[in-house]
Amino acid sequence: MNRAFQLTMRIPADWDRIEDVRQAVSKCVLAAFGDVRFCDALGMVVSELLENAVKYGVADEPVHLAVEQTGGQVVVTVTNSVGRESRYLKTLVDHVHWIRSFDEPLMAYEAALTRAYETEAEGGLGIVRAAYEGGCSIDCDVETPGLVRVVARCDAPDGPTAGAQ
Amino acid sequence: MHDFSFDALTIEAQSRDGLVRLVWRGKSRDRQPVAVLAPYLKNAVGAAAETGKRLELCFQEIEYFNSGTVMAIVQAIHAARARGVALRIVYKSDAEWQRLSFDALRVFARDGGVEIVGSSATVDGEVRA
Repeated sequence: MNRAFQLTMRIPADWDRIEDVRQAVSKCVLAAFGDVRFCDALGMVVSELLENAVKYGVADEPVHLAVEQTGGQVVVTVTNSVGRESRYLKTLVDHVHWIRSFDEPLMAYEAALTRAYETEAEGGLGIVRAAYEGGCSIDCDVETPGLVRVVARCDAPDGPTAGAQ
Repeated sequence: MHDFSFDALTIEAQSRDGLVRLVWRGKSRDRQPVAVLAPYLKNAVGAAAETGKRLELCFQEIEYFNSGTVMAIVQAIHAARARGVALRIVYKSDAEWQRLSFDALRVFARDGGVEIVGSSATVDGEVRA
């Protein structure tokens, strides 16, 4: 399949690298799509998903990032290793289903903020923020033992891309 | 109130008649922003409460913050309400990411005590072209 925009990276599970990746992806997206709003949104989505991967993944195991255009969407995929007994897997699956139970991502984010206010626990705020501010649908795949893949599908802005590869 | 600096984030504290203003600049992307920011913000709420001043958090000049920082802001809202401090949050209205982020926080403005305002002016009041 032809892709007008495709970017893949393998990065160390190092918190300090996340900001560099956010900036790099943002600049590539801006160069390809010429849309500041979309560039900010994609950068935030990438950053929030990478933060979760580094927080809950296996230390010293690399994190894989792919950002690619598929038709009218740009798909962000973050794949990382997790401990087989990690409670994060169930929490993530539950959270993705919880987000989908709302009609609008804004409603999910407001509910997450209210819960955070009442419990003083952050509990998955990042992934809901990615869905709402990034304007994307979130999915996850935890079927492969020891591996988690989180996918964010965002509508690409109108207009041609620069054909970045 | 004193200024705050950590990693790529600085917060400038300004105390004026009836107002404690915290001006955020740079990026807030720490792994545990609440641990870093909450004591400072709680102190700011306390200072405003003790002097009977309003507290204003100004984000027009911040470049980026992560969701952990949102949690720290939520806790500041909680602390301000608990102490009866009038809180005003100002964001850069012509930055779409800020508008989205702070629009969602209006969920806390519905019950009063918190005001969330978009501004096209800089912190010093200069209007952007």
